[in-house]
Amino acid sequence: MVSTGVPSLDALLGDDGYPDRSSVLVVGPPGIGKEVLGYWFVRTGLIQGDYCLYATHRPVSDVLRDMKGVGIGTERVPEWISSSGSPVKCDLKDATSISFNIKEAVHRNKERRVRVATDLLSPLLVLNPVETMYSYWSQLLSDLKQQDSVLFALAEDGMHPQNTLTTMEQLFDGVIEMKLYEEGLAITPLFRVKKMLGLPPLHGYFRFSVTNTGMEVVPRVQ
Amino acid sequence: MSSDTVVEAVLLAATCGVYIFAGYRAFRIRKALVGALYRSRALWSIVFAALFVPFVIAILPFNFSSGIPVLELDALGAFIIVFNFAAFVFCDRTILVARELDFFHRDTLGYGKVRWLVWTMSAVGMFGSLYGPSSGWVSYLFAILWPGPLAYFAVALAATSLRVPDRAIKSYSKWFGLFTGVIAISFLALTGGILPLVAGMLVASIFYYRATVSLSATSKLDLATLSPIPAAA
Repeated sequence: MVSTGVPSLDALLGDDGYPDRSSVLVVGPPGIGKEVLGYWFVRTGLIQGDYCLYATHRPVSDVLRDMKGVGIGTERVPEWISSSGSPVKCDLKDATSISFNIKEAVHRNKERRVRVATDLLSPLLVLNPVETMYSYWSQLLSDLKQQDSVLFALAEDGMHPQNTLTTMEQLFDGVIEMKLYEEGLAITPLFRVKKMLGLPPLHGYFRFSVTNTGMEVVPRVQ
Repeated sequence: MSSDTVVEAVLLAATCGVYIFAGYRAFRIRKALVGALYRSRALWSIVFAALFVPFVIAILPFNFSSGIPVLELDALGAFIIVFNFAAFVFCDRTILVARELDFFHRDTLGYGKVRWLVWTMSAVGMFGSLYGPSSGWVSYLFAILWPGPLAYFAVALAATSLRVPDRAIKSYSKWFGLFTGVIAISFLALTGGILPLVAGMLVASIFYYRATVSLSATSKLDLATLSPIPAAA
């Protein structure tokens, strides 16, 4: 099992975190903190000596700024595939090269456990037909599972039709859904584990909060 | 007190109320969000709403028929400069944030190139309007130079909203662009009297509120009906 980097989420997933050789999708609205789960996932991997790759459509400097903003030290950083600031560039118009670069980087580190975090699913889904992306991600996930790797992907809620997201969710072993719940004037960030390989369905939503010392999952709403 | 003045005062009070509520909503949204970009937009919404309320109160009584200045002219001038500066930083940062969120980081309407020209026009227009001649063609030039850049911001924000895929910033840019456009039109309509300005301010405040609440893409969850999807084969 691979630690999520968030002890309370590890506990929720049976004290161990994400399953080995799995793919996890986090879906949520903008600004809710999906990326933070990815940052902690990578950060923990770096501490444990795993090979970590962060594939993003954003510049490296923006991601590092965000990491610092949520209290994650940047003295250890993953290998990057990004729009700027990394030796390997991410060109959203060339999905094939992105896939090739990810697989090549993972293959180079086949002796180690690998963690891949990416925010590229939504941009690629916006720019390409859903059928093409279904095959694309299916192939990529399948290839990565040949090695000791865990892929953590983010998807933007509201950027795609619901049936598109549902289709993509079926490709992943685990799906975590984040929502902003409005009750009166109060806005509460919630999440739920929609599915996770090896775990029985976990019903109900959980509140969570992000502080400079980490992310805390607090008692369930329902 | 004339009936026009009463109408203006009522509209003014409503405008302030909307800004105060928008500021409060922004505060709640900021608490709920984690993303730095969205939190910074919410913080700006709070700061700007806090500045807008005294601005509306301070600037308009000068123009009421029974007007009682609430600030000395120098103090008012300084306040308008601070407010205007804040407004331009707010618009500027919003366009830059939207560019950051665009997958291809496109420069809407060449904003990166004309940015400093827009700022200079605004500064010249603002200082000229406040401290320059109050009549003649030069005063008209200053009067146009001031809201002119705001109109540019409105168009740039509208164009940005078409490009950004992020639904929160897309909606935010759209409503904020409308807000900026109405403010620009309101200032240009000042020659028609104070009532169009006050009415414009109220319309703008509603757009401002819509922009603020669009930062949080909330869901009305029916917690009981949601169930997990089947596991992958």
